[in-house]
Amino acid sequence: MKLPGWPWGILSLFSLAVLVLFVAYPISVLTLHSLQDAQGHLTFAGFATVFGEAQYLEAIVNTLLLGVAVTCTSMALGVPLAYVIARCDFPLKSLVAILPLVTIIIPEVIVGQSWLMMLGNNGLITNSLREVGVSLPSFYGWGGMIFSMTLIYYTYVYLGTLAALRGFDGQLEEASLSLGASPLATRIKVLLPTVAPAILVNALVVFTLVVGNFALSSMLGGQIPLLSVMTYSLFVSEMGSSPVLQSSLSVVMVLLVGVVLFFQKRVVERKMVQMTQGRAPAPRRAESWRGSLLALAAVVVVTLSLVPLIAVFVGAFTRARGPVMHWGQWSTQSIERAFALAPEPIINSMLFAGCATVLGTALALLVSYLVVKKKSSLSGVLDYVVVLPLTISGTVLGIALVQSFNTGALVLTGTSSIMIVCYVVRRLPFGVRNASSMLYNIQGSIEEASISLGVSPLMTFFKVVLPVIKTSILSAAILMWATSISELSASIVVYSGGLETLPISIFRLVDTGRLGLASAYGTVLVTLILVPLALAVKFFKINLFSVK
Amino acid sequence: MSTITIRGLTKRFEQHVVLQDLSLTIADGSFFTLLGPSGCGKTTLLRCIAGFNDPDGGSILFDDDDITRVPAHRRNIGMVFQDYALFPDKTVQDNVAYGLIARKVAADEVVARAHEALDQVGLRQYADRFPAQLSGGQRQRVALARALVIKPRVLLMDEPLSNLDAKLRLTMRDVIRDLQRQAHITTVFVTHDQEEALALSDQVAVMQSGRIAQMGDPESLYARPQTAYVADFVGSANLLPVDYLAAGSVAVAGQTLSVDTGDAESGRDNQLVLRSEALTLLPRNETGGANRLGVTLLGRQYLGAKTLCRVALDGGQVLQVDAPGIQRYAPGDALWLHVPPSSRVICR
Amino acid sequence: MRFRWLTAAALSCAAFAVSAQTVVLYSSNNPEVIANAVASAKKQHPTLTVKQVTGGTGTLMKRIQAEAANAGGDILWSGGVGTLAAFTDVMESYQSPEAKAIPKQFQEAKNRYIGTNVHVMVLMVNDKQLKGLAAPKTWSDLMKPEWKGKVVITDPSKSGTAFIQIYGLLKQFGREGLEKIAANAVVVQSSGQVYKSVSAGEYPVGITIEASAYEFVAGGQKEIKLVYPSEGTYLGAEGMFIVKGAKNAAAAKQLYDVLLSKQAQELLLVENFRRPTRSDIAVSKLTSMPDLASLKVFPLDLQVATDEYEQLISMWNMAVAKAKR
Repeated sequence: MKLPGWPWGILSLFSLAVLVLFVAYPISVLTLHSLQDAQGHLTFAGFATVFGEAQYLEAIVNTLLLGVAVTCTSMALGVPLAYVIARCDFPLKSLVAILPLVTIIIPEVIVGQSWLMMLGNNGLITNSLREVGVSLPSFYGWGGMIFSMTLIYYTYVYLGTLAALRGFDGQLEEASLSLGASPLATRIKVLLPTVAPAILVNALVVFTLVVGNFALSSMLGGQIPLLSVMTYSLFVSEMGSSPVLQSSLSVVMVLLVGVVLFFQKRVVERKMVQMTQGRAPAPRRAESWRGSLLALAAVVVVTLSLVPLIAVFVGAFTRARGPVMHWGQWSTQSIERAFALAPEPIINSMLFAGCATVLGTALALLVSYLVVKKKSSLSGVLDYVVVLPLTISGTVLGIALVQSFNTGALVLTGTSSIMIVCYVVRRLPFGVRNASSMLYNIQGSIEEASISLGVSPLMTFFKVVLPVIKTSILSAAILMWATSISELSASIVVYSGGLETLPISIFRLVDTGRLGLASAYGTVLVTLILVPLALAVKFFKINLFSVK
Repeated sequence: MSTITIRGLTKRFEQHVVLQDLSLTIADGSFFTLLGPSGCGKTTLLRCIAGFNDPDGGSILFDDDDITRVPAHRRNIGMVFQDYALFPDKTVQDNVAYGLIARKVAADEVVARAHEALDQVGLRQYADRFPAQLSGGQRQRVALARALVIKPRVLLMDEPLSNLDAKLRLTMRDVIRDLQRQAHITTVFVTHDQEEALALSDQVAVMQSGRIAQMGDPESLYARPQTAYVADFVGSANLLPVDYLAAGSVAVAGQTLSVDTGDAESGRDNQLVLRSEALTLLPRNETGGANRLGVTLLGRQYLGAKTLCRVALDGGQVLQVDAPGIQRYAPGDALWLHVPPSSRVICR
Repeated sequence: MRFRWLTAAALSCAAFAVSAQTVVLYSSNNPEVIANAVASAKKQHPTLTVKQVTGGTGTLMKRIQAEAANAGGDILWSGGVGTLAAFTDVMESYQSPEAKAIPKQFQEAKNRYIGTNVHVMVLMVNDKQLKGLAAPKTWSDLMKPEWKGKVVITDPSKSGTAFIQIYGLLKQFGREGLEKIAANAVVVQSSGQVYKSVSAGEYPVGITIEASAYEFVAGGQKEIKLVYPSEGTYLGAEGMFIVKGAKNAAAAKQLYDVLLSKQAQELLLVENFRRPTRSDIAVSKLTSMPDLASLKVFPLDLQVATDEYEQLISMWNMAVAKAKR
């Protein structure tokens, strides 16, 4: 055991190797392919096509437009909701405060599918309104995408704003009021500037999520060309397509998100105000009609974002004949078929998400431990590499992984490993961020105390650090499980026959119009997410949403 | 229990030299304090002894064993931290037993020794509590019990009292001193509080910029500081530039004073150390008596047992005087300041 | 380490699977269709285990090419014969005893692949959305100005069957006809969107394949009707082949025979509305779909169609662009 650099140096090297192999290397392969023609010569043809042909330019513009639109609507929904939750008191408030978090956990395929079942052209609501002579505009296109994405992504703005509002020092407001400013002026001049950076940071997160969004874009986008969908369809195109073009489009997407994240890190986060004192003003009971109205609006927004969950359960137990749903007639036939006819997606999802949860949580913990507690030049590099996946949307990651591990020394395409790699890489930055915040909360001295008492540094990690953060790890693992098992955009690119997961099956079934079976799988998926979560909350008293 | 010998220890953080060719010996069973302001290198030195910092040069010995390259967990040290560093998920008893279990002590002996250690710090009845349920003083006593129960060769304490309130600090001094005496364990104590250092220690090393400025027992350090830095840091001192006239005689603002001139010489940067509590204020109308300077009272703060008086010499320098009890002088009064002949002149 | 472990696990699984009577089926069909095929195989060969790998035809073809040196699959079922024609170098010839019942037009000259089912191109009509218009009866009806924005079709570059539809229209009505259709059409990016949006009432008419449209009729959606254009419809066949170097060649041939058998083709017709290539199955007796013989068909050479792929796509794109102006 007298290895030089043992254990932390070696472990840093190991983590770095893993990250380079599965993050840095695929990105460089992708970039290389975007600049290389079939003969291996340097070419800018891919980028020339992307920026020269109307359809690609249109896709870029549309993607940006959608990003801006959803970011704005999410702010419009998330900020007031956070304000109401932070400053008003009304019945059921604690429930209303926590429920938006569920929207992050519901898989996007299910959200898309459910809204289609409700508001699609043959949807329940659409049809019943048509009966009474009201015809809704088509749900496919801008309306549907902005509507459904907003009802998911507002949660990010909501959480960020809520945290900022709760950390806001109410004395500042009182000071402003005492100096003669009106309550409204106070909110604009004192509250807004301090909370604004937090709102903006999360709004930018929403923007990057929208740009990378695949599930809702392709399910609801209709005829609107969007980058993620276009990149995906170039990749899977039956007639085959040029790897230069798909790589170029991917690189454009990476740059798009990268620029935004860079702006967020460099400009916005520095503007975040550190409150010296955090005594948030106590919520006031909503008594006036205005307060009640606000509270009611909050309840409506939150309920609306939970409709998909209900719809998918109803769909699963509705009689379906082929592609035709017979609403109002109940049947367990879809559920039975999901288990009897094709249980593979269920098994695959559990297997891959299970492996990804164990490996991803362990890797995230290791990396963040090295970065937070064992600072070295190597761990500094780790800190940078680990955020790279944030700039890669799922679709692009999938393409990069396929391009990198299709041939050569390490062939992963067609194996379960590539699915697990997808899950782990996509979730890693979040995992590391969670783990780091747990580790920052640990006193550095308890490790030294353990070492001084005769326990080696590595064993100290297991005997002292792990037990202290075990519930946090558990909640991080459950979050990892929930997000992995819902992952679609990367896995649908890398998967091959025999590796279908629940989201992929749901996506394909929705595409071929089999809403009954899709709902049945959806119900299984939601159950697989919610049950462990509920058990953990009940038995381990974990506060799942202290991490995000 | 060991003698600690440090030879030529050097430690750099990047380009910054934190410890510079430092040597010292800490006698077996003694209570040794490293005293100095933050950034003087005292904590770095302690952490080098503990094994948490790797020195860039020099060696550390426990008795005859060179432990310079021995990893921290094999040095058999007990360490007490400023923030207690108790394991938050373990009970008080499990905290204390932790080091024993690591040493593979038999289970029943672990319990017996943990209980004994908790008895010593008077916390046996809290054995099943968690650290969060204890007060700061109780936590630090658990930390002390945890460090001592493993019978370490040396006990290292890094500002263990600075997170406690003033009253508790006084009590904890006694607890620490008693336990250290009982166990007769070589102890290295780091603090920036000179009073704590004087109260607890057999030996004190005053550190300055990675070196030892002066080392000695508390009395000699207080009474005979060798440098202005030490004089200023140990006890509250006024430093007054003086002209050397002859052995035992200096001039200040045109007046001659008889003082202990030590190794002062003419032409050097001589300063007179005036301990504020050794100075006395007398009314101007009082005649006779020698060794006094004319001063004007600038202001005063009444503290009950004493009064802090700020006075200005006729030459302009401002001095502080701790006068016992209540003083009736008013600001603006012209007074005599009596300088005891035992006051020392230092030239460094 | 992890990968070595996974590979080892995968290898041991494979080894176990091979020791039984196993065939690896690469299939682009949906799970319900595959399940019926597998059930049929089980019935005829109880010892045969079908291990399935599913994916889009394009993906699977690429995979077969990539695995040329070390075949992972044994049999591919199914792909449009136009597509299959481009991949004959990865196919093993096989003369099935069942092929006797398959008309020559669905057989390849060297027996490298064979048609398993026929796609009939139809107009899928949603009665409720006609809003006073008479349901179209012919392709040329759709070229009339009143259908502008009411006909939904798939981009021919995105789907093999859509390619056949556009190719047929070009051959039958020339460039002018194609441009008229393009002027009226709403073009979507996947064939699923066509029948889903017609079913949903978004558009009154869509050009799609019989099997997909018929599902809605069979499912009980009363307003959905299938129209077989009286000027002659277009046929597309889907076929299968045995992979060159297949590890389980004997089992693959068994499955090949099963998929051509009367029993399997009838089952897939009744359950999944896959119109059989066999000439000895009376479609109109088993379903409410008409017999192929009763339909007027405009003949297309799909082999030639594949060769003219690029031309057709660009011609179509130009027609769409012209319509937009």
